[in-house]
Amino acid sequence: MRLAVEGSEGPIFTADGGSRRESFYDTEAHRGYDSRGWLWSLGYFAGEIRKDCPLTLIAATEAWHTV
Amino acid sequence: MARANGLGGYASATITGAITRRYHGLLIAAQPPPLGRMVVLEDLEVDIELEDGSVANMREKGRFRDFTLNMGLPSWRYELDEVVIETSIVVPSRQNIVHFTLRSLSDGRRLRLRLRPLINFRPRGTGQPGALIGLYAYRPGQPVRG
Repeated sequence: MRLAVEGSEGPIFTADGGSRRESFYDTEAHRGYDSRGWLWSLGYFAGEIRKDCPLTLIAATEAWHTV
Repeated sequence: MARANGLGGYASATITGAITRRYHGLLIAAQPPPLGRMVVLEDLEVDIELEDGSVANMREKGRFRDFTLNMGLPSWRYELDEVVIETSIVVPSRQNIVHFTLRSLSDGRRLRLRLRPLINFRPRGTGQPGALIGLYAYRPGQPVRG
């Protein structure tokens, strides 16, 4: 997967070492299904927004030239 | 709410923006067989740096205001610290791509955000991805513009 952020003034990516966290799916639990899983985070993007200046995260499994 | 990409992939969440089903996610990509539909970007954690220096999670601390479909494009509005933030999703046709945009609807204030992608490469609807997580890695790259 490819990730990019556009907008703001120089959004910054911080790689914080990668962390794993448990996920919980509320509706699955209510229906008696398996309701827990795991997610991975590689870090975070930081940027500013203000009116008329949005911030967009783009995620893709396509090649960079398509993104 | 679901937005499909015409390939079998999509973005899906509840009306409040929460992920409550295994098949929800911001990017469920349609991959060639044998992979099929894969959840790759399950959620995006949005933290907001407040004026007092503290950090608040938009979905946990913000007040959900509304959900709208504007010409088929979904958007959610949250209010936090007297600022209204709109998030919206665009899924380009026939591409395994999602654009997740945040904008302030309030005058004057600059807001500093932290966007933390929550990733999980797993077949849609199944739940045993944890064993693979230790194998994940990232590599810096550059989008090509032309």
